[in-house]
Amino acid sequence: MRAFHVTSTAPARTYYGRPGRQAFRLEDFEILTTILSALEWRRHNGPIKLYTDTIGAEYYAQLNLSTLWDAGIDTETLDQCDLKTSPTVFWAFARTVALGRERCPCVLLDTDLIVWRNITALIRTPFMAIHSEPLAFGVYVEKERLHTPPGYIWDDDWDWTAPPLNAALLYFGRDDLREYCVTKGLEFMRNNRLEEPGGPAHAVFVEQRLYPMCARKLGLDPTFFLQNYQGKRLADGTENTIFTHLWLYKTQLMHNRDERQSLCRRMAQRIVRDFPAFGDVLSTIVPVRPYLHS
Amino acid sequence: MRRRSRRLRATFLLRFRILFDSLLTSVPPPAGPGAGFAAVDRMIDELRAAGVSVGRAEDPIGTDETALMPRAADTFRYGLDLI
Repeated sequence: MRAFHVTSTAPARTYYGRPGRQAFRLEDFEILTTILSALEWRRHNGPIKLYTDTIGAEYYAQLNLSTLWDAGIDTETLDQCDLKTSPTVFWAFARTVALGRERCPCVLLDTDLIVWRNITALIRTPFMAIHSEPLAFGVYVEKERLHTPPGYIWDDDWDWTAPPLNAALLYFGRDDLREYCVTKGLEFMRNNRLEEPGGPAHAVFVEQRLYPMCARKLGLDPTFFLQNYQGKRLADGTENTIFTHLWLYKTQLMHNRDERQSLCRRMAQRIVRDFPAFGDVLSTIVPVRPYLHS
Repeated sequence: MRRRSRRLRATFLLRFRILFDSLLTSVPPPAGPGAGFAAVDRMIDELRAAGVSVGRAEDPIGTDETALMPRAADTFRYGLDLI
């Protein structure tokens, strides 16, 4: 199963405060989760590719991580992207752009999500997400509150009661669905300019709400790997021993040094344990080197 | 006292909702990373000092919104024990 990571440096900052653009750099815990996410995917599930821009690729090269993605690094797709949108508001826009270059079956994987086993047997429908999210979450607002591009017309066939999903891991098994999601996602973001930082509702709308509405229109409601967003159980009710997701914990790690160091030590040790040959690479990465010997 | 408590609670819920929306998704809380959690803790302390009962629902998306923010950091992550 082929997967891809997406890292765009276009947003001025992430929601947890890490800078982008010319100031782009990853936090230590981001570097380590990215490495674990890629290597564990390769080990258990198959090839993985990175979509990033030139700034991102140069940064990963400085970290000696250019070979982390065995299916290569694509900079052309994001460098040539001309959406004329607000990247800091639609901070996940690059994922939809990258999805447009892929072919099914494929998995869109967040760099802070780690898959510890083969998931082939868990795939049961053409469209799957890591878990659903309650429509009651405050970020899922009525369409009247969403800012649209000039001349944009909502599709009357979209069902706004379709449950949102979390897009940290998305499986696409049918190209017609993938293409429809990409087309409609890009239509919503193209020339859609909001004053930054804008509203959080816009950031998650395309992947987490528009995609499931597109899927429902095609009769392909998503199914999920996990029972719910708390992540304790797989969809079949058994304990979750497959997926790790830092998710909003990143916000906490940004200002809690003890927790950050503890987590980074564990991740560095796990990388060395599972991939001994990668220890040499880790030892060259200045931000994470201290965790190898502590 | 009761009227003041109701007013305080209503103000809290409004401020809380704004902060929660910020933390849950895409933009940093108004004063930077992590500030939202501290701000809500302060709000809860203010409410309790004013004699307002602040619940701690087990369901983080339940009807008791006052319980959401302090629990958010522990709720919106999973599988860390697998590392």
